Amino acid sequence: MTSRTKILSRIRHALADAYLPDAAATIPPPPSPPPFAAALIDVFEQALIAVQGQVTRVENQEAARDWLVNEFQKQGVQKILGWNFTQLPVANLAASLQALGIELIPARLSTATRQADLAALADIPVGLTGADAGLARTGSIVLYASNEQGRLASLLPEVHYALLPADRIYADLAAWLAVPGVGERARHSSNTVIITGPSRSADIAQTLTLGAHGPKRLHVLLIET
Amino acid sequence: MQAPTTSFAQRAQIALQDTGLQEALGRAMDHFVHGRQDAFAALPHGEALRDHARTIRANTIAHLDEHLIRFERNAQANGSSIHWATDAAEARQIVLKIAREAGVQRIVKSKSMLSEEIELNRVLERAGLDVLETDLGEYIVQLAHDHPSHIIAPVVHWRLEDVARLFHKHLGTPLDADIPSLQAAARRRLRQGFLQADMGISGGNLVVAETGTVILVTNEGNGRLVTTTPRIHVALVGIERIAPTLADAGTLLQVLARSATGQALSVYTSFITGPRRQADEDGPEQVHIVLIDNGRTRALQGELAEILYCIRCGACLNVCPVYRNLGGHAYGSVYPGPIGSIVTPAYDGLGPWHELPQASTLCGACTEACPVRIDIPRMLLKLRADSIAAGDAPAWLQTGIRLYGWAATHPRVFRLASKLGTQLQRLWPGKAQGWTRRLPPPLSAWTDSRAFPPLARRSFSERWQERKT
Repeated sequence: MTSRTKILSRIRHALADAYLPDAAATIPPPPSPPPFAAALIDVFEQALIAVQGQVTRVENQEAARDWLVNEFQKQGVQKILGWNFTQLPVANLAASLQALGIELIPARLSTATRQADLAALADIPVGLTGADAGLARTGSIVLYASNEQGRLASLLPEVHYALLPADRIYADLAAWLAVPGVGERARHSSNTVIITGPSRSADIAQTLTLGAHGPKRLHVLLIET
Repeated sequence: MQAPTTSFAQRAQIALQDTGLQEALGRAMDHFVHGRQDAFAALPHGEALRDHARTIRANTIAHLDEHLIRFERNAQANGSSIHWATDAAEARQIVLKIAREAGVQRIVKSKSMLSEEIELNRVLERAGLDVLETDLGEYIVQLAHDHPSHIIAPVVHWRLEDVARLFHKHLGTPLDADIPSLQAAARRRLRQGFLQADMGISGGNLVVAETGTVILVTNEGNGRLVTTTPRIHVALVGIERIAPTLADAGTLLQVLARSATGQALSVYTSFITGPRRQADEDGPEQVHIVLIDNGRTRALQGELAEILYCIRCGACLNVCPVYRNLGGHAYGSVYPGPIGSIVTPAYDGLGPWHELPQASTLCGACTEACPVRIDIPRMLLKLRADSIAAGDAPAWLQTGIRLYGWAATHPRVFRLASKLGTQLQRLWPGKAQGWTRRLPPPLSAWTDSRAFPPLARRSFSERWQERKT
């Protein structure tokens, strides 16, 4: 008998005698919270600030591009680890950044040179990604992994900038999961991450410290139209 | 699980006298409790979500076999490999075999209580593999050859100065380093580990039957790194930690972080659905999911099955008056606190663990805090009854209870005994607020570890008689 068969048969045997209080015949629909009094974008902003994230609202794509160009210039940024820049929700971003002399590096690991690739990406100080959804209640952003969207861009650098169009903000995790197609997308993407603020730890003396292993700083650029 | 050789009372004594531990616990416990209360207060449908989470867990366990089969099919369709382990030894061998076949030398791990339960590190290290714990708390535990004392906060028993001393020795940080610089030193050291590792080992907070997904929740980001940078990812998952659908998992995640750390969501909630697709930029080449029984089907049989609803948030530890005073090590088991006092004997048998169900005041704070409202006192009482039936209780207690039972069913004897007790009590020295601190043998067995409550000056039956007349 394989271990699989053994475990499944043990479960069936045990279930005959198991006392399982409150097991109903079916799972009812989840409770729905009252709608927010404020606009979702405001709720999102407040929630993200509450978890030490930073938020900047820009009116449109052009304003987003100008803000990023200005920000990176001010910070003296030379290299950015990012998603495919042509896929980001800001037109001509790649050209504008390259015009500043900034090198745009995809988070790509090839099978043969995996560890060398990783070593080359490890010290890039800035990551730039889009975001596939925002969750207002928690101030979270959702990022799918794909051939255009490397997960290391939101993970290795000390600072992570994420571009989120405001029309992708949902009330909360449950509301986003209920959107048709989300389940399919999550199933077909090898990795979906919900990010709620910058990396943190409170393991030492229960004192909050940012930047444990991931980004110390998370800056979400909210594009309003 | 390895049972300790000392008694619970001995370990409790040590914990109570450990001033460093008392200081660390005093600070931490209220912090967790207030965090949880505030997080639920901010959620308008928090109580309804808890009820819903309970129904999900109950229904899932009631059809556990079907959900596991569905999970396996969907996970395989995504390219993950599924392994089944009946016990700890088999689970360890599975991980070792994956490592050997893939020529693995360096392993990074994110926090997994299940890996503690199956004592994985010992076996991997004996096989000559380098194992690096990457959760900051677990890294401290590994450097110090310690054990986690809390299922969410492994080094809740450590003070800042203890960590500073440890890092000074191992990482060369100054003895008076502050928390950010200690964390930065650990980040530098562990980043090297992530970049060089061949294999990452994680736990799994949940798996999702509908999509074949493993859900992993971390704050530090080490969980993401462990499952992204190495070419092989192995996830260790208890067979009970399954949710039928993504929506069900969504409900559980909303109550999990609030109960555990008082966060609305943890910083990183990862849905891992197979290895990197061919065109993906990054991610592991192989994903292995090890589904582990190791006593869970034993717990499923009978009246302790409700313990399998647990989603391991640790809230019951933080509110428990026993845990709050002793910390986790006094329990002597991998899983401490109220939940551990049921999980441990339920998985491993009551014999070596019969003291654990006694390590409770049955106050019910655990059930009140539990996000899925597990009736912990009910199961502690059940285990106590089993323990007495099995003859685990010491002779003084067995005899004492038998004597009490006899007296209680003979009114005249009972009245005489309580009168005598009231008189003797008045003369007996060494009381604190009426509670007797020390009694002669064999009653000293009671007062060795607790005070004896004052007997009422006038008994209930006396007052009852008065009222009737």
